[in-house]
Amino acid sequence: MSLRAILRKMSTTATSQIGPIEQTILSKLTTEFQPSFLQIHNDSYKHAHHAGLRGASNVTESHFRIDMVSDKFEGLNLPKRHRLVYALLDEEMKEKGVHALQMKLKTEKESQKKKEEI
Amino acid sequence: MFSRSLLSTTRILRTSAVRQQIINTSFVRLLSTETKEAIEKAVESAPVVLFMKGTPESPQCGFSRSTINILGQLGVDPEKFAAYNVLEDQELRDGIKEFSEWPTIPQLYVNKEFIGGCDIVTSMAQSGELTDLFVKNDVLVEDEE
Repeated sequence: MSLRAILRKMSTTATSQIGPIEQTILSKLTTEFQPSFLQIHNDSYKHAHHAGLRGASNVTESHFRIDMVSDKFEGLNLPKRHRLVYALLDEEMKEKGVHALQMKLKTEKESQKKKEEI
Repeated sequence: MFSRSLLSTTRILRTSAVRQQIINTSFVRLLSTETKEAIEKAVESAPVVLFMKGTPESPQCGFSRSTINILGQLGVDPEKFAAYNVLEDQELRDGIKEFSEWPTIPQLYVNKEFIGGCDIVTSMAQSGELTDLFVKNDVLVEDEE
């Protein structure tokens, strides 16, 4: 991604374009996981026309990408971590039309390690 | 009924024939005993099983596409692989989510063990864990030479 694209992305994130579902996700995740890092990206525009969403009423808040660091993931394998988030956001997925969540869920230790590698 | 297609994309793997195999089980209700048994059969039908949207040749979702690409790039043996298209069967689509306690597709199983969806597969591929897992389970194609 070019620097300009990154800046543009940051500015769209910054301008209060957060929808009600994203707001709920943000507050649920913050309360439950007390993350030391949390970023939510709304990728719905990338998927608005795909087959799985044909006829769907919610196409503006259907796909989210969650990058989160929390020590609550300590000792849990990846499927277990993902299941915790899926369980927490069950209502959003089953009732509110959230179609997919992409997740990178790390513990503080793992995220430090990653930084050292870079 | 689930139809099974073997991983066979010419782009990424050697064989090109798509074989369809029907598992003779009919469904009654969501995660009824019958559904559960049919899914268990599907999970056991090959060492590596992917539940996906579309077929390996023609994935219908970006997450399914990128997962199948990773399996191909790592060299999963087509003889040891089966893919199930959940779009062909609503009961499978709903049932597999309950069965795996996982709300999204794709879903990867290796020797009946649930591994994860696209993100987990991607991150395990990047870290090398997925190759280790495949080697341990002896599901990669032998090196030609």
